[in-house]
Amino acid sequence: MDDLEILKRAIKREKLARKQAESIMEAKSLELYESNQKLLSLNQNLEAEIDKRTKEIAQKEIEFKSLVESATEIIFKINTEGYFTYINPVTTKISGYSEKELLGQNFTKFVRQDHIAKLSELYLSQLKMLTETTVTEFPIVAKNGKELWFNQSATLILDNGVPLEFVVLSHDVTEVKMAQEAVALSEEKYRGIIENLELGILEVDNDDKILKAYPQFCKLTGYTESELVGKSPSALLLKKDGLAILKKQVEERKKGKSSVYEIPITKKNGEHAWVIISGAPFYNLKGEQLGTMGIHLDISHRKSIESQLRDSKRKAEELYRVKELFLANMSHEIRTPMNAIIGMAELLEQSKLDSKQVSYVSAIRSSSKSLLVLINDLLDFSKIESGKLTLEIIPFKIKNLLVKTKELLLPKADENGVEIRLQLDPEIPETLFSDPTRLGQVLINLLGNAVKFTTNGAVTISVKCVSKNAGLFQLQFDVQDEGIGISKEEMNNLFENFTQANQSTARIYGGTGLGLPISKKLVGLLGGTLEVSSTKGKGSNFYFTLNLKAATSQGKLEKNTFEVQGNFNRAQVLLVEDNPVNTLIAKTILEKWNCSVEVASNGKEAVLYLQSSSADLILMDVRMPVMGGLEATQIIRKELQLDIPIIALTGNAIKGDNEKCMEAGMNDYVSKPFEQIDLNKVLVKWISIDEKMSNQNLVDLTNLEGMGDQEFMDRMVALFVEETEKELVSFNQALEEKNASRLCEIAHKIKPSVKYVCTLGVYEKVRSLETWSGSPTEFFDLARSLSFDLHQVILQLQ
Amino acid sequence: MKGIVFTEFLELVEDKFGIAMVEQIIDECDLKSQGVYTSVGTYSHKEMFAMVGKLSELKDIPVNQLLELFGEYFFTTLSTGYPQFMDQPNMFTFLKTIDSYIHPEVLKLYPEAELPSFQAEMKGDDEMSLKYRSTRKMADFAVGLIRGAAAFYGEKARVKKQEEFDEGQTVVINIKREA
Repeated sequence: MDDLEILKRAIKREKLARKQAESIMEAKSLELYESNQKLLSLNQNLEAEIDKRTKEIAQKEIEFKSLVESATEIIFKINTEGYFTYINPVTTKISGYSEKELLGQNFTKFVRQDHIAKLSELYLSQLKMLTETTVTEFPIVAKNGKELWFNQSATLILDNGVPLEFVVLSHDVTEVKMAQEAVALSEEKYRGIIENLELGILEVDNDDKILKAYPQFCKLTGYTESELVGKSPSALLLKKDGLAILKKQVEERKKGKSSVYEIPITKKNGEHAWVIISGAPFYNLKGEQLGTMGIHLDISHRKSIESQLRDSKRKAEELYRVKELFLANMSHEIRTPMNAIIGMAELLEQSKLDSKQVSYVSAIRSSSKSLLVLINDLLDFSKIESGKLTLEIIPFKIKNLLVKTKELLLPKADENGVEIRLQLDPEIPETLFSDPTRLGQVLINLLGNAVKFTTNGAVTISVKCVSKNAGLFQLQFDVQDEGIGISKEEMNNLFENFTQANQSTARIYGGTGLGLPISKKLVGLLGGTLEVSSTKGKGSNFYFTLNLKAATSQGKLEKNTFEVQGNFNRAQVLLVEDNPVNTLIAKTILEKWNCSVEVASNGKEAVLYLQSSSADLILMDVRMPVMGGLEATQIIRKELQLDIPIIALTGNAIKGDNEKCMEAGMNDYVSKPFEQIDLNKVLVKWISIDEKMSNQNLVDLTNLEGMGDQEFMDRMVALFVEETEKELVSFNQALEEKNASRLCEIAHKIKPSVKYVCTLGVYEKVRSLETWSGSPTEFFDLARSLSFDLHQVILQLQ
Repeated sequence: MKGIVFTEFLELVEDKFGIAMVEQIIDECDLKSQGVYTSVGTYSHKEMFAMVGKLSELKDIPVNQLLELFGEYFFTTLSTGYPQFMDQPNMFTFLKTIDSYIHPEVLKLYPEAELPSFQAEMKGDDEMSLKYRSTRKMADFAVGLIRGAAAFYGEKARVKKQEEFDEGQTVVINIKREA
């Protein structure tokens, strides 16, 4: 191969190599271009992305800034040296400092002097320890000089582990702080008050264990707080009596009720003390009961006074009872001789007396009656005062009541030269319902006063119908006098107990001073009000208004129409009485009424008598020696099995005595001293006598009627009664003396008048006696029978 | 293997043995590239070994000797073409920068290049132990390059292969600087 050939080949290789290189280069260029295009596109995307991100960040920044700026919290930044680098508007608003005044200033400049050191130390430590966040509270001084409390949370921002700045969030907690201080102040105040009030306070949990004992409670019980806490107060302090009280209270408190109660406790030293406890449940914030709180006050002193007072009250009550018993016994003691005086005076009056003696006896009777009224006043008064007085509402005739009242006071009126006028409204029905006894008592009292205080004048008792409505009548009662009158001053205490118009009244007019108070109370019980109008020197008017029902039925009428039954047709009466005077009186009266009387001087004798003999009625004294009336009655009822009516003769007015009598088996009672009419009523009620006998009319005026007018008849009847009463006294005396000739004499004397006034039966007895031819025994029996008849005639005519 | 190694090798053969020798080697080695090489191209290293082997056969010079000579020559080409890599105070410092600086720069231009690694370890002030690693097994070429470097930095150095591992894939080269 020649050189040329070699060179050609070498050149050819070089050309090929160059083409190869060019081709590589082109490929590389293309690759480079494409890479470049890719890069460009990437770059563009990146730029757009960056742009977008940048805008987003800017937006976020605006948002965050606006958030921070519009926040209601204080937000600021300080650098690591403590200088403000950013503050939000709230910071300036709350502190009062402008942004200019704050930025670049050290935060310590605004903190209250005494907190600077502590706060600086905190943040220096945070810087040193790289603590992420610290929270603290401190006061700053605002621009206006006021102190503000901040609750501040400072977050340390790090840049690659190196402290960069603090981002701080603060709340203005001044109000909370003030409130806390106020609460603390208030707590302190109440604590002080409670401690000074000497109230022992105790907190107990639901298991009855002491949670806390306040000093005053410790002082009260003598235990220290450590001795008390964890213990059961009831086990430690209470005995049996206290535990019972507590048990009840605990149940109440579990129902959420607070209560106040008193309880006896035992102190550490064993002494007892009474405490008053006010207990109430207390709760946690969820409303669950944690326990109870009790406030204890030592009331031992009060308790001892209470106990003394109770003793005093008991003593006073005992004294009062003793006094009442004394009063009752006294009234019994007074009534027994009174009974004798009145009874004997009554009997004496019926015996033959000369005119002087008649006036003496009359004086004895009226005085003893006055005394009895006085005693009854006193008893009534105490009955009213104790509310024991009850009314007996029955039908009664108002006219009769007025007439009787007038008649009762006529003698006194005559004495004083007083005319008593009665005025009864014709519209008022004849019979009304009320308690005639009490109404009568009031009228007697008022009329009595009117008569007493009037001299030479008129006294008017009037009843007017004010209105009527369906059987109910409103009646006004007036008792008007022309007496001394009552001044306005005197009227003030006119109705008070034991007072009279003035002190001199009692001296001049007498009286107990109980009359008007009793009347006022009785009128009140009857449903009215007793009032008075008066002019000093001219007279007074006592008046009251009552609403009374008209009694339509003519059935049972009041007892004022009662006619004394003078003949019990030899009824067998057993009189059981130990007092001989009383026995004599009762026996005399009973025999007068044609009773056959047996006397036993005590219960035992009565029982003995009844074992062999019988009786139609027993009058039984309650208090007797050997055996009393109650015991005797029980024996008669239970052992002798007798149902004979037994009437108690009660001598006193002890409450419940009458009830005891009824319980023992008695049927009724008569209060001693009794008026004859009272005894008569009881006998009529319990002795069944022959209808013909009892209701026998012994009066026959037909002979008289033919001889003249009514006035003549009235005069004749009055004359008969006057004469016959006198003759009857002599007749009875002769009967007692068994003086037959004297009896014949009297029979002869009265025969003509008897013929004109009495029935033929009576007249025949007189005539038969005058011309007696039979046995002496029968003569005296007939005489006795005539005596009863005449007595009966007089009663019937009256 | 980078085209520059082939172009420089043929340059050196032409320079030392004449263009006819170049023709003969290319003719006698059944080369896939037909001996057409450009410095920016990449070719199989087997072609290099084929051509070095042919030259050794034709001129009866051991392959390792040829590779050492070629290495020494190639360094001057590199130092002329890439003076920016040579800016080092001495040879040892330069050698230390091959792995850390020069090869990363080469990879920027030729990302597909398969480069040997040189792990340098100083044995005192004037001795270096350089561990060569490459599947190409061209430690001799490396020895030539090191000698070229020593010449470039005007230093006298004794460079010799000290130990071989994995059939020449790892070779420890000892470099002793002499005064």
